[in-house]
Amino acid sequence: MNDREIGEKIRNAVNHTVPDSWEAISSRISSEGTVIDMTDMTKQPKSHKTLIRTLALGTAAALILGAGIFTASRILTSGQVEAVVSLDVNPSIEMQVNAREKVVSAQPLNTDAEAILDGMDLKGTDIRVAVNAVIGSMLQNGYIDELSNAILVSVENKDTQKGEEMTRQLTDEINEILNASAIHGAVISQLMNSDDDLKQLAQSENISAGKAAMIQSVMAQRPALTFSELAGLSINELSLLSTGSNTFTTTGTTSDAAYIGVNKAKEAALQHAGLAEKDTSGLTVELDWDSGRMTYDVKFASGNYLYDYEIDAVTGQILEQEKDTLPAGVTDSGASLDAAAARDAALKDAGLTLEQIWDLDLDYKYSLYYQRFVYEVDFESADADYDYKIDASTGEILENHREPQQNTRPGTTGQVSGDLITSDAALKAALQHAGVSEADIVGRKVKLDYDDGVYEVEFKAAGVEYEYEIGMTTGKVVNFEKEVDDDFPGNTGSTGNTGNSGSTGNTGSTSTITADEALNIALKHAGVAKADAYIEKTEWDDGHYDIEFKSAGVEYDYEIAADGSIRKSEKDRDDDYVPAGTSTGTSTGTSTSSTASTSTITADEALTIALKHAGVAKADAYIEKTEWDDGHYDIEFKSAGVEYDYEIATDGSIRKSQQDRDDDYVPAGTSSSTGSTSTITADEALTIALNHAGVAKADARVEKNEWDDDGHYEVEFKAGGMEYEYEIAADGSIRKAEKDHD
Amino acid sequence: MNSFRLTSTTEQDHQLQAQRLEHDLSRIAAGDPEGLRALYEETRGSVYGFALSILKSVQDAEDVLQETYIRIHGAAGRYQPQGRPLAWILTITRNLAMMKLRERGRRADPEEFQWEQFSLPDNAQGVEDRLTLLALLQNLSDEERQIVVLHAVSGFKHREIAALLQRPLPTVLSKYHRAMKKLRTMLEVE
Repeated sequence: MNDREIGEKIRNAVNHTVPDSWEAISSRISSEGTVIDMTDMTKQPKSHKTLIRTLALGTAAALILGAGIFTASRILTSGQVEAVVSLDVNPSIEMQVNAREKVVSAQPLNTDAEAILDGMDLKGTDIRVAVNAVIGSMLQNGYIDELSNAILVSVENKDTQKGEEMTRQLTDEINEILNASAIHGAVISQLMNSDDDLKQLAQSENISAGKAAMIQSVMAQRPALTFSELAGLSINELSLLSTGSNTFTTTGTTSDAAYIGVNKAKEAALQHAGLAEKDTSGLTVELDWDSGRMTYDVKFASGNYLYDYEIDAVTGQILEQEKDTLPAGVTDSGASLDAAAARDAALKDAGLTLEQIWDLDLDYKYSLYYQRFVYEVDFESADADYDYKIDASTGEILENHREPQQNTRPGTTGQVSGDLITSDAALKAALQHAGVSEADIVGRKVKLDYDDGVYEVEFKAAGVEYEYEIGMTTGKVVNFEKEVDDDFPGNTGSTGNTGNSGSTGNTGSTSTITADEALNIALKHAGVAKADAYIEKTEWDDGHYDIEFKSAGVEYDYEIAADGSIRKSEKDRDDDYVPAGTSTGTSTGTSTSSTASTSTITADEALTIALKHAGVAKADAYIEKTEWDDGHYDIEFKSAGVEYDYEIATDGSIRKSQQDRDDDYVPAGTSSSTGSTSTITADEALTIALNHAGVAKADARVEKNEWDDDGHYEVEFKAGGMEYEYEIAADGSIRKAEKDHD
Repeated sequence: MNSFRLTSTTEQDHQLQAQRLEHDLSRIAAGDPEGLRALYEETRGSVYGFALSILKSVQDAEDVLQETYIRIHGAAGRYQPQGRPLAWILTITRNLAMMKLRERGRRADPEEFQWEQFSLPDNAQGVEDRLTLLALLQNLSDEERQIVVLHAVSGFKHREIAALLQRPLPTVLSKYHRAMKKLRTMLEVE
């Protein structure tokens, strides 16, 4: 893929997603007292649908504006609340309604909802108009679209008949707005009665009682999910996880357009297992919530194995893989005990409630040791980490393990920083560490534990059971355990947790080398002192450390195995090398300057202090930043290929001083502060031309690359049967690009 | 003859666009409502893309998108025709986006990018767009992202980007190439 194609992809993606804000802009301008009237707007060529939407939203907005004016002068005579209406999408809003179906008060229940209600005065408006306005605002703010189209309407009214009527009317109202906006929506409605317990539960998670009721309904169908886990989900996600319920009425279909789909998930799992669908039996795929995200749970059997996969519903990445032995002759006739009962038996034994636990994992599998199907119930509480094995037909507790808790309860899950490694890479890292080859292991379970930031890896080999935790982005062994495998035919007599309890420890205590050690091995081999090396990469990758560094114009690339052996060493000329004794590496030091006065210094004074410390004349420095930030001045400047970064406190003391090689540095006096006179080198001109053409340097036969008196480089090269001709200006811009058959 | 002159046509396109936008700006200044509409249709991708690349939040970017045109509407009379109307517009966008960032800092609840907020159609194109945006928003540094978007969406030359972002040209060039390298690996892996 060349730069132009990437650019095109980006342009398309942005242009496809840019929201149409014209209506909002023009209405804001006209409300600010300037021109643009409606007749002009409607003359614009528009689709019929957008026009209706404009009117629908416009009407509601106008009515609310009107209502706002009226409530100021009119006293609401009837403040008596007769019904409570809540709207949940991800924003959750609750409205109290009186007997005349006017809104008495409206509360945003979460931050998203605050933005939705911002500036709206719903008091005194008819509930239908209020609902219209709120849904309109959610549409405009992007909470409802084709990827996430489900809305929950909950009505509480002691008068069932009136309540049913209102539920129906509001559902119609919402469907009308969605239709006008050309959105295929899914409106889920319920007439409900909330008791104090439900209200309290809802309040604790900042959601409406209506959404709490929906969560409870999902929980009843999915015993492995907890209330607090589900509270953060949108109605769209909850609706997809729900397999149907009598208390809720749904019009329309909840969108799963954001996900890869059942077929792709199935393909990913089968491909990983190396099987064709015809070689499997009992294949099921369903949407699930796992590791803080939507997943597809894919299960199937083949030969003597049971497979279980969790596939990230958005990216298609395998987050969990499990392979268990099912002995010949054993068939799964289904558990007589359901998973919720197994979970409750474990909770009861632990003396805990569902609200007190997290990271709940429920697994139904065949135990070779007990020779029967069992539920494995794992969960964590504030005090301990629990593992239970429960007989799937009798509910008898076969095993219970308990370990002191090492993690705190995770907060709401955020974005991953850094890329997740694959579950395969996690398995490999564990195998490597254990010194076991993949061919020798029996069964496996690799599961992403998003909250703890690790993949949990379990497998058995030669009568030993291994349990690892591998950093989900680093691929490093965080923790590991070894135990005698109870199920192994040779290990008779040992039951429960009486195994050879293995060492639990950090990476330091293991045979695996650390990244630093790997770096030292590489540096030593290269004969380069650490201080002289510009380290670019030390990364665990697929069974080895990838080490890259530069020194004195040479680029080094090493692969160091976990045992410290060198798998690969490569040396290359560093094309980016800038000579002229630029300092390399990173040195951080702290020192206090002599200016001890307590008066606050100016930004200029701070700069002078930093320059003096660096030994750089102001005229030679390219100042990038002098900014006040949280109690100090942030000073950044460049000079002679070195990047300086300072923090100067108000009293003039230096809090931080850092030097780094300036990767952007272009020698030959070209980096000027104005940018107007800078000239690129012939090599850079060639690179620009090659990049534009999407041709690798190695593939190009350069015919010409010279400075032309007209103020540009003439660059000509041939590649892949084509002839390219470029004119590259002194500032790197392309003046001419031609392509012809060679 | 299978020869084409890529840059000359894009250069021509740029000049034509600049003329159109300056014409629109003069219409806005004269109180013609159609001027803003035309300007909006032509530049909203550039404005939104740039705002998104700074803010990484669909909602904040949309706010800035609206605000930019409100500002243009009020300030069109002050525009001095210099043949770079888009740079003028994007400077407004940049200032508004920076204000938004500061406001966000005060609120201390950064509304970081959430892909769910993108409304994309349920087809191959929609999926591709989403992956591209994910790569763009999650894996590039702030400056890299702004440079790439200005170049790809608004067709800005590197020296124009350097002027707009107030960064030296070599910095822009090297960041651009680094970013494209990252994007290539990511988009090809998909």
